[in-house]
Amino acid sequence: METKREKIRRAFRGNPQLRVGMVMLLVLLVVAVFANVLSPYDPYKLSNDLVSAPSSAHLLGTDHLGRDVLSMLLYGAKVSLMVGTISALIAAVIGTLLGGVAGFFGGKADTIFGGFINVFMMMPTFFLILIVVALFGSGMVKVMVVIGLTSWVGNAKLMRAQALSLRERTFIKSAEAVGESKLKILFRHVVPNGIFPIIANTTMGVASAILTESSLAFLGLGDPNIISWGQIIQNGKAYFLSGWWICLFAGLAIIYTVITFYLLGDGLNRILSPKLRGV
Amino acid sequence: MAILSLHDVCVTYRSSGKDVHAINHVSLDVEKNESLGIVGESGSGKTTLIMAILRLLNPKSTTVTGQILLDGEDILTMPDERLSEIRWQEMAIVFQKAMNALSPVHKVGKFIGDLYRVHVPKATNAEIRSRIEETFELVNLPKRIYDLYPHELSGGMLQRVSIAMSLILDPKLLIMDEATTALDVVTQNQILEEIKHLEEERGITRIMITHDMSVVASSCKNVAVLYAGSLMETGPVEKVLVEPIHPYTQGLVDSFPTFATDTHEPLKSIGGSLPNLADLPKGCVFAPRCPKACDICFQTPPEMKEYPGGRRAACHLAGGASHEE
Amino acid sequence: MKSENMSRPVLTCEEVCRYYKKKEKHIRDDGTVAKTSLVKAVDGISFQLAPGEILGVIGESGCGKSTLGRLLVRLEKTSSGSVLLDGENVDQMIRADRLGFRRQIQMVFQNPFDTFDPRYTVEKILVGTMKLHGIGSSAGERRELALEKLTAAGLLPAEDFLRRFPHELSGGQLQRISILRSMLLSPKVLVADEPVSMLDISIRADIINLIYDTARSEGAAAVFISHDITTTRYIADRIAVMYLGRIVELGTADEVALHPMHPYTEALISNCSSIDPRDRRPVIQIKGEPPSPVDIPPGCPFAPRCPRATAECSATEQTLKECNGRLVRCSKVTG
Repeated sequence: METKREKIRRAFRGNPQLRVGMVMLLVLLVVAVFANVLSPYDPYKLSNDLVSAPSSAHLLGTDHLGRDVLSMLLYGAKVSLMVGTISALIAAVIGTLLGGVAGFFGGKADTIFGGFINVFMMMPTFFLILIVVALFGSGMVKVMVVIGLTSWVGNAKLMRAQALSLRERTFIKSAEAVGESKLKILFRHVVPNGIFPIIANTTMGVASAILTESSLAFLGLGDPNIISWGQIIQNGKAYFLSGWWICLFAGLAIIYTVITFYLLGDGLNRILSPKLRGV
Repeated sequence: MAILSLHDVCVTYRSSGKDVHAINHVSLDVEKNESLGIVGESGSGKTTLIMAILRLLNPKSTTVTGQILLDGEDILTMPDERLSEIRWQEMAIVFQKAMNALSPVHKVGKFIGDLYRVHVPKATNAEIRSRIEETFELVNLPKRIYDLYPHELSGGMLQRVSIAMSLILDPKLLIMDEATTALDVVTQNQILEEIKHLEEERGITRIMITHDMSVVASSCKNVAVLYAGSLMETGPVEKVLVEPIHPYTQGLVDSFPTFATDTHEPLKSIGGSLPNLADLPKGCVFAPRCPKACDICFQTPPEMKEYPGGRRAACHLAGGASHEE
Repeated sequence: MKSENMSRPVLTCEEVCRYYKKKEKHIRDDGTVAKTSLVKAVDGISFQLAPGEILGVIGESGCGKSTLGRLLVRLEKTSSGSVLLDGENVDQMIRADRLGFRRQIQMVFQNPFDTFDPRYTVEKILVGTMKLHGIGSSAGERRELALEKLTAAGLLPAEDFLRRFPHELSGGQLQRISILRSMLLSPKVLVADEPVSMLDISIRADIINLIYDTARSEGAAAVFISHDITTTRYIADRIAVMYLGRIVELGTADEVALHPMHPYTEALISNCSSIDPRDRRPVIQIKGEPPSPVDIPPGCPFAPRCPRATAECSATEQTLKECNGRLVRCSKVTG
């Protein structure tokens, strides 16, 4: 029998997406955690070097308030990762619950919840977010919750499909025959056995949430008190040609992060092959 | 003349860094028009053997040595084009879950027609249709099946379609891998009768893989008993199943309840389980489970010896003469 | 043997029916196409099971025996009719005390490879069941009990088995664990739905022996559902033959298997192949396909394929009547 270690090793072999994704993620994590150590300057510190090009003093230049772009990017990593992860997790939990209940209980539950899922799918979620943020303000927490509350549909559909198929499996019927309550079966057996595609989807959801947050910040609807990449771009928009480094590097940071999570998600999807289930 | 001849065939594949010996030194002759049943537990290697014969094993991960001669031609060394020719035209296979063999989004007739056209590219639509309908008649299927989808057919009908598909190019050799296991007893018997009839009519030789020996007993001429990738015993069905030479065959026969089985006695079975194919025992591969095993059985693998009546068995304990009460 | 006279049956079925409506196109025997279907999976099953008795239920695919099994353990609700456990209606029992009900009737499933959550070890499976039903007062005690039961079922070394996952075990081992898990709850009735059909013939004997021995030693009654007549005859006291959702014959195992009376039973028995190639008993051929329980024809459902059928058979509903100490649903036999 293969040990867990051998299984994990095999999961990585022939899966460059996963390997590269994990390395990139590691870099991001290190940056996010050690931002204050790694940054050459305090990102909030204003200086007199307004919109100065990349130089030996400021590796990636400064913005219109003299703030070091590199330092801002490093601090911004933390915000992006946090917003991305928490929003995606909220979406995962909501989606799993709704989809699981709809698919597993079927009948009326599916008509109600399944219908709700379908209706929600039709909604232009980004506009919904815009409206909510415009009406209720744009603190970071609010942004995270709003993104989470609007991007759960994919997860719900995945979980519903999983629940529908798992419902017919013998071990689910056997759990019922032994006396487990339906609710317990949903949480102890259906969700854990059906969660894999949602994990992969949520990973990609992190990338999507980061993009959404950046877009909000870019539109001026982000939290003005924190440093976020989208916000850097928003500020740098006015200096698009004269201070191209502001938008460019922030944009690249976003791209890098999005690629990281897409690779991770893709790599995880490849592990979905049945042989490796149960790692 | 043997239509299919296996000479010292071995199949090994690598798994988790070890060599798994799925088939070990199997030599077997299938005579023309003499149906053969290959029996053994799940995991004995029955399907692997068939896959090797059809050359469907992945060459990157599996090694097949020895010779497999179809009417004198070695399947293992023939060029790919020749292999594509003989597949389906000279040698055809029917699998267990018939519905998985058919495309769910094509009507049955269209699907078979496409298959036919691969081998006979110049055939016209009319020719194909009439050939298919002819074959349907052979297996007692109504003609209207041509225009139906697989999900509209019952299990028995699907299996018959599978069989029809295999017969359409008039193969010499028909291999059925647990083809009737998923069917109920009545349909199974019907289909077996139809096949036996067809064999006689068209000179087809059938090889049946099954773990259900009653099917072999009622429909095959010869039987080969496979265990953990090695042949244990071969011979005519009425000799091997009535008076087995090999203890494994005896064990298999004993574990079959009949209407005469004493209900007050526990049912007999063969204790233990299949050996690890990556780590085969030193001597006879069945010795660990054999009720009659003795020292030599654990030391040296027995050789396949000939016995009267066209029988062969690989067992140290069988006498040189025929096995008598 | 006469079921009506037993002291108190542990399990009773009273005109149990299970119908489904399906929006599915299907082809009738006469070739016409129907748009929706009423599937009468189980159509009026009545029988009584004495405590400790083993009842075999045989029939081909589509006869409703598996549906019946699920109705008995209340994995599905009856459309009409009732299932009584020790005289009490199971619908009420399950509403009043779900766990209590489950302890009284258990099921062993056809597919041992899928009977357990692939993520759970054997220990978690067994101990989980015990915990759920309050068996054993501590984790240590439950573990000890699990080891004891594994050993008794021949799964040795028991310690080793506790750590294993389902995909590491063979079909025979898994089915043993399924049986022993069910018996942990000391049920009054064990329903075995084709417990060996997915297992190799050489290990079926062990599982049959285990079911028989455990049921007998615990005094549990059993319903043994199978399409394998020889095995059913071996293990069962009485046999019920099902066809298209109805019982067509009910009698002692030997009687039904060796001297069948209903034409369908006769044909079925004759189609059981023997392993002896010299056995050349005539096989009764039944024409046509095995039926599907969709749009069942009026009168006797077997009439279209019955070698003895006459026009009268399709016109009159057949009922179970007593004949020679047995129940048979055929006017040609019972008169």
